[in-house]
Amino acid sequence: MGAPIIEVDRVSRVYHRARRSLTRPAPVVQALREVSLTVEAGERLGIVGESGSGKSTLLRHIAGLEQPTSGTIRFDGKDISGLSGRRLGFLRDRLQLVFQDPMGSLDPRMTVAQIVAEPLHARRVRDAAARVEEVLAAVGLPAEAAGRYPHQFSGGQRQRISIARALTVSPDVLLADEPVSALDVSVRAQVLNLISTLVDARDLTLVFVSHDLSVIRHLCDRVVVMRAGQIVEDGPTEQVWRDPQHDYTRRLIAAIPAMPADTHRSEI
Amino acid sequence: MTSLLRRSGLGRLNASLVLGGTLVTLVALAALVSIVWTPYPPMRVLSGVGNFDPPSGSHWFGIGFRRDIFSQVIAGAQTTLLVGVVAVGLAALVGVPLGLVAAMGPRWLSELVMRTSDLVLAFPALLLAIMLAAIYGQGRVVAMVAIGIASIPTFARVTRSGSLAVLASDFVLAARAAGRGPLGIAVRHVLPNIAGLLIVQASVAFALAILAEAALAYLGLGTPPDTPSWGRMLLEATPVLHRAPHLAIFPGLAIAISVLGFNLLGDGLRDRLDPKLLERS
Amino acid sequence: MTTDQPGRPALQVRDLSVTTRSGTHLLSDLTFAIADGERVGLIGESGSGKSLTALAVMGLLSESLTATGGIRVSGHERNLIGEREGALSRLRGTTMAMVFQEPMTALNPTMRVGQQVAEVLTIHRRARGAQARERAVALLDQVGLPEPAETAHAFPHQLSGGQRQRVVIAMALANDPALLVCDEPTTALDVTVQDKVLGLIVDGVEARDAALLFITHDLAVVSRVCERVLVMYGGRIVESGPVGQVFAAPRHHYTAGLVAASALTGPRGGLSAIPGTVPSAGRFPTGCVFRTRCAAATSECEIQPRWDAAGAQGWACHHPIGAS
Repeated sequence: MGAPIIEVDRVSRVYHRARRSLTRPAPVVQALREVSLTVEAGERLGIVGESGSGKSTLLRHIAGLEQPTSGTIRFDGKDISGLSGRRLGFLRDRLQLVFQDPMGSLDPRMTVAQIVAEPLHARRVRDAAARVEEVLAAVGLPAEAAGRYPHQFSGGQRQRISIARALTVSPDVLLADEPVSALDVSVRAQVLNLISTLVDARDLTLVFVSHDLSVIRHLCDRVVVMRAGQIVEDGPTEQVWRDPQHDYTRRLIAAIPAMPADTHRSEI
Repeated sequence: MTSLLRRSGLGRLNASLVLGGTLVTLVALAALVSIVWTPYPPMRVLSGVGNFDPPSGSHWFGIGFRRDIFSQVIAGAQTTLLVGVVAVGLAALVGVPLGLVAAMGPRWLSELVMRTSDLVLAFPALLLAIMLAAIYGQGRVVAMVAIGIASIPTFARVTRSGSLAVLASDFVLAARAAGRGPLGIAVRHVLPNIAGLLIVQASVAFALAILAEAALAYLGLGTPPDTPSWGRMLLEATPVLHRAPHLAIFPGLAIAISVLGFNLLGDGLRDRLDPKLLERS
Repeated sequence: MTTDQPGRPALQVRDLSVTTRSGTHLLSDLTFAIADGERVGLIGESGSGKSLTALAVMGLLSESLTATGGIRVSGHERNLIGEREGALSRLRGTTMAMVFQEPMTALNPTMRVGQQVAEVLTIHRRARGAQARERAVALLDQVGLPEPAETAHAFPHQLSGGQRQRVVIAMALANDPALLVCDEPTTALDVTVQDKVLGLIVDGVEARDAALLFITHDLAVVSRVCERVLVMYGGRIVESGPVGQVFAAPRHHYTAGLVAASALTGPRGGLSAIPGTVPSAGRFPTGCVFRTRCAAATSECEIQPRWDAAGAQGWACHHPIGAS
């Protein structure tokens, strides 16, 4: 644990939908409402919420991929909320993302080597081959994977490719947007183990978005619960799991189906 | 196109690619051969032949207005390919960047590009060619430019709609997160993913350009009389059509074969360039 | 193979095999039965053949596939394999109904939902006109949609994912089927919505004493919904039995792997994962289908293991867990 690395300060985001009528104003969607959140270096933070809660939107704002309507986002003390893509270079060196859909987030016309080397090529690093081999090995893919195309891999392997791409620039912070929700249980276990191992071995700060609190409980020290664009609860994962304070969190936990072996939850 | 072919590795071929490729190669070979050799000088009036002799051993496609039709047809391939390449090249070179700008640029720029292209689309290519011919005089360059300009909007539209779909994908978001700028995304992600679309569009535009050139020549607006052109041959064949049908049949067949060839080639290339259809290894 | 049910079960599948034209076996020798009012889960990773089993039961296999064996549902004398399409379509929606994973694609976007529910009734001549519309509203009420009379006038896109799945369930239950087949019906839904929809399915089949075949990859969902579970891998049933018993004391190594990989019970700590990935169809090994990923595999496993049973639990493994 250490100094705050991500500081989100009263961030709101409003989307304007397309007009449906000439007479009525365009509908407005409040995706984020006055969200404040601090992530410390080395922390493993989970963001849990259902569809439409704003959890993925918040993640994209932290990654500098979207600009807030109001409020500020600081990364390691630097305000990134007003910066354009070109001036976010420092952020791209230090913060990387893993996406939900392991197929959709990989360009089907690029080989694995080209995909994994993209963050380096974007920085005009010429010789990326050695680095590609290294990160592929780190995520447990064989070296000959480099020459193949994404469709030749299974869902779990594709998510490994996606993680390898995030690691090529040796970031300090890894953001993950539902990286295991499209995967089978056994593959999910493999990918969760991989993320956990990499976060430990490389001293990463992890921000992990999921709709599944049990996955976050397994992986993260701290969890924030989001609903309708707001954070409704924030605390150590075990504490939130055992003693949820907000009514919504309670409902969320009660709704998770339990394994027969999972006995302690029936006490709640 | 050659680099794309190399990247995909010409391993397995499909029927439309083979047939289309063969037909296009045939047309291209005819054009190349006719530069150095034709059985007779194509436009020279021959002596010792009738006005409209039917096909024979010495004149394979027969005689029209005392000129050898076979020589004219293979020399006409030059005109056809030249017009096609220049017109499609012009349309793609202008239309594709415009489409990319419309897809990736700010909204006002996108609106400007698309409304202008609507305006051009609403303008018949033939009318444009007639206007250009009225200003610059008739000739092959005017025909090529007119056909090219008329094809720009379709290229811009196809590029824009294809790009929008690609830009909405997660891998573009991932590329932005990896630090790629807009130009890098356009070149590395958008263009390769819409290349198949553009190749199909180019082959269709090529076929249309061949037809348009023939139409312009038929109207007497394109290729000047001293240059062999399939369209012009059709024009000249019209008054004698029932007396000497071979005057129209052979240039007509040539047009049909090249249009079909380019369409099939486009189809085949689209399938070939899709990595998802490559054999799983 | 599995325990025999007294009387004629709602669904009886015997030696069901499905092969492609090129001779690849997608399903091999499936035998199981579901009694009236019994809720049975079918679990396994993607590529194990779960959805294909559901399609085969519903007679919805693509024409390029060949099915052999026997599928019988109560109330229909003949084997569904080889049955004419006309007879099958009379059974679908009445005797047997299915709920798919994606509620949006299962509904016609251009028709009001009330009409779609009413249509299920009128197609099978269970009701007509105003009576069908009334029944439709009552069904929408049963599946817990708010203001069912107004909701009946809504188009699918005006409803949320959970509401759409409720409409699909209302359609499936409209004619009181003897067998309800659900293929991952809640995978696309949020956790709290999933919980309600699962409750709805359980209540719906209980009220009708219908048999339920419930397909999912989520073991916790199976425990929530089902009494008995079939574990599938490589197009074969590798283990079956009462849910509590199978998950607490699995005998097959594949089941044990799934249970361990699902156990997100504690904070941190490595999860035990099944090594490797599911082979593609036709690339499964001969003998025991799981032996290429199994830590306990020996040369003996190159021979197809026979089905063993102890009480209600059965498995196909040469080296079952717990055998010394």
